[in-house]
Amino acid sequence: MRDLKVRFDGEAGPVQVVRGVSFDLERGATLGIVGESGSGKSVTSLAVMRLLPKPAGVIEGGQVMLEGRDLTAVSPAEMAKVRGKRISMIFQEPMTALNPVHTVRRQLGESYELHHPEMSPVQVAQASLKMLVEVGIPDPSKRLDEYPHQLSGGMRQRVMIALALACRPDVLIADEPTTALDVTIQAQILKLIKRLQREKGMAVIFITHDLGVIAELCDDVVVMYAGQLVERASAKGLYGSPRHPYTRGLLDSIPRLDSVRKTRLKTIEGMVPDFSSLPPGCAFQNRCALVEERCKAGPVALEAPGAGRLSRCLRWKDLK
Amino acid sequence: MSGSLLEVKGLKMHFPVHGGLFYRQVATVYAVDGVSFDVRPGETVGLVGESGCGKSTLGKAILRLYDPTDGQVFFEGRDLAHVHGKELRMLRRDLGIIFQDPYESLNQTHTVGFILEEPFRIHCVGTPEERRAWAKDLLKKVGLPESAFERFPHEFSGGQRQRIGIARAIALKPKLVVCDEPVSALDVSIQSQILNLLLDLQKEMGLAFVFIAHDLAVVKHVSDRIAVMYLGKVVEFSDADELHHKPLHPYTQALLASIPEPDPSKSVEEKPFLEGEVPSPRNPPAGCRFHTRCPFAQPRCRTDIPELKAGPGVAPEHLVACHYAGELKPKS
Repeated sequence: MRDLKVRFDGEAGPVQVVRGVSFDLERGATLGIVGESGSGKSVTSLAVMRLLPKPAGVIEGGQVMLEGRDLTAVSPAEMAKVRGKRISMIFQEPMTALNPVHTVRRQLGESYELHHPEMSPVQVAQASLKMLVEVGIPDPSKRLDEYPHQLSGGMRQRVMIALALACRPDVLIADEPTTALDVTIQAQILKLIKRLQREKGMAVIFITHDLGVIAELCDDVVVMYAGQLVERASAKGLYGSPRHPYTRGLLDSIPRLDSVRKTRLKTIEGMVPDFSSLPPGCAFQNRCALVEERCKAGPVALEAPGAGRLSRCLRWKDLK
Repeated sequence: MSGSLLEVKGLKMHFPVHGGLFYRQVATVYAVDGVSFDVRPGETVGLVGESGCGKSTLGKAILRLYDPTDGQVFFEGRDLAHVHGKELRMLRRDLGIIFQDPYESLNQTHTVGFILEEPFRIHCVGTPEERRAWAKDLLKKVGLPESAFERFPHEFSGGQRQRIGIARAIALKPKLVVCDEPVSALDVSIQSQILNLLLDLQKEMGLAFVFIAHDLAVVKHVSDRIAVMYLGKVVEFSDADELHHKPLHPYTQALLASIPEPDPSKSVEEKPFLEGEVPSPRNPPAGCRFHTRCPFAQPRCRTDIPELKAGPGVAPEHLVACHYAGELKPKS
């Protein structure tokens, strides 16, 4: 992804919500995108899929290259062939992503019919059943003829994953897939995604606000704040020595099992700035403890504090 | 137990399910099914469990927002479950509640000032001028500017709205506040601000909290003691640190293992985890309710309901409901 920019045309005028995001994803790797609500992480993934709400969401600039082809430039018909077959997506709330009036069989079959029209109905049925087995759904032949509302939250998410993986995509985008689930179910789903990724050699982009989930799953991590990439690092590097005060603040503010009880947590004071009134200079300046005059002067460029690392902070050297 | 502010004894909250011809009762949801625990003055008791375990229902039944099916809730020696009218209203002065969703729990058509004066109006305390001054004090206490007084809830962010909710809950200087998932709808950086506020208020006002949440790490951070719930029952109740270091119930052990930790050296694939899903509280399993998912389940667990009692080899106040507590080796 190169310098992606997304604009939303709202009632109050156009607002740029993704302000130049770049990253690379290698085959078979897992990239985590972490950020709070309004950081632009979900919009980034919707832009990759060309699924931005119309007509409000517009890709203003930048490129999304999939093996040399720019997905922002292909025709809608060609994009439909990419979706599901090359890149798939799973969403936070499977109940709203699945069609409530179709059975699991019909929804799974649809993706085969779309991308593999040569398959016979019998083959489609066999492939659908096999997918449900792969995602660990008990009693799969019975589940095929059920409707989404008859399934539990964890089962629905498994069906979503089966749908996404039906045509063996090269890239899976998972947008907060476990946020609505209980922790014991979350652990099951994360384990499932990890196993399927290894078996199928696909790359995964995992979007979440939960730094714990990222740590367990991802090779590399991108931290987003106010529509920009503020830090990029390997998972080890990020948790061991964050190079941006926002990342540092996030890590410090999570209560951990081994932290001393009833002590005050470190916080990031203040709130995420509104997109319509972003300050010139660093977007994090109003909440940052290290802020200086030069941070407010103009846009802060990405610096490279180490091999494979990026930080959008002028003072990353001063972070302990 | 003496010295308790709140003592819940064998509390049951069942909901009838109606349907079919003539709208007859066709089933019962056993949301809370025989729960006992106590809260001491100024302490925080955490209630933790997955969705559907009855933790929120329990919180509401304690405050008599539901009429409990059975059992007692003693608050300073008086049974909240069986008082009525004026007496209940008087007792409620000492009780407060903070809800999960600050978007739904504040009336959008009233100003923040009106919302914060309301507790005083309902309980007929003070003159209009006094109420106004108190409401402004409350704003200061929860870290909001005085200008918030004239504004409406929709003008605030989620974190600020939760502060308004907290201000309302502490308006009458209660002794006990039930916090029902107070931070689960908030972003990480805002979550810690709200947790700090609750800790500060507790210290300053000597509040006791019943802190309900699904996130064990959050609960452990703010609680003195923790009750772990599963399908309407408390399966373990103990000091928070002890629960973390010596969990006795297999469900507590699984819950602890499932928490994703911000530490990349622990991969999700190496962790033990629970198979299956929580059964429906409409038709809970016989015997130990956890036996359908328990990796250690024995034939006896399918028939005998384990009692909540002192666990073997741990502090006397560490209670657990498992036939084989202490004999299980926690998987590492």
